[in-house]
Amino acid sequence: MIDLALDSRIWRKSPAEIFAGFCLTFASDNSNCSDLTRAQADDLDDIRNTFDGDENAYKRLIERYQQKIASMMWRFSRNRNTHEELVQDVFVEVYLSLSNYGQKAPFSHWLSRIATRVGYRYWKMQQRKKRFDTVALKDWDQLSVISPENMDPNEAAELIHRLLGLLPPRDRLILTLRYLEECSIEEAAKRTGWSKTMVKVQTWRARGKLKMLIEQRQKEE
Amino acid sequence: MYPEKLIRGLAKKAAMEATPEVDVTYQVLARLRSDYSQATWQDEKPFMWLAGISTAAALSLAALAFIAYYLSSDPLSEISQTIAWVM
Repeated sequence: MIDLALDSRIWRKSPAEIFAGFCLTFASDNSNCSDLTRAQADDLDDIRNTFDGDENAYKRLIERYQQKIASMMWRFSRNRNTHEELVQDVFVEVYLSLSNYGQKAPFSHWLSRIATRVGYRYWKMQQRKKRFDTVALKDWDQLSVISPENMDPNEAAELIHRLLGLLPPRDRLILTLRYLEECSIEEAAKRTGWSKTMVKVQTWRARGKLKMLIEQRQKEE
Repeated sequence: MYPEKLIRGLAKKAAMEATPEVDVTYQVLARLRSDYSQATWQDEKPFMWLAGISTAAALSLAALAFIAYYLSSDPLSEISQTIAWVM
């Protein structure tokens, strides 16, 4: 395994110190500190052991979060092979950036940010290669009469994936986070690294673009 | 249907979809190990070049030294070789 640059100031703390630190940091945000921070202390303990060269510690972190990351990456690619590669990419990138994790936010939030970055990068790469799925003609006909309530979840997910795929990656990302991941403005800002104002503006623009695209295509048909 | 309402409706329905199960533990650890061996190889690459150049230089010097020794140990060999060539 690749050696990680150990920041001893952060990672030489004992689990008890980590736990106490998290209680102080997050107690104001969350009254149920004990449950929340216990899981975070486990994460930090595993991260610290990973720094010490314990491969099993990183294995535990992967096992703990891979399903959550898999759910997120499924929004970025619905191809099974690509999806699995993206999940792998996230954990490789997490491992290589582990020394940058400063405990300012729970590990799962930091992980989500990296996953968003990996997914966004994938879309940008796809855009450069011009490899986006397009919505089939019959779907355009259906859009005006479609009733999502009566649709199969798989079918709905496939259609929304293709519809959002019409947009540039930046717009697609913000709508995916706001609608599919149901992120608040604040969460979306954290995930993307943008300001809250930027998230609001980007969402408004992306919605406008999508509306225009759908109406334009429907007129063409 | 108004696009935003449509997207919200589709997103709500899509949220019910079951995500495929994955287990990437082995692949991730294998990739990290191979990245490590690759990184180690990359680190050692300049030393490998240095070792190659040193070996080539040492072999050339050894060959020159052997020729010089051969010539100096038998001073008449050059004359005898010239005579042999003329005849």
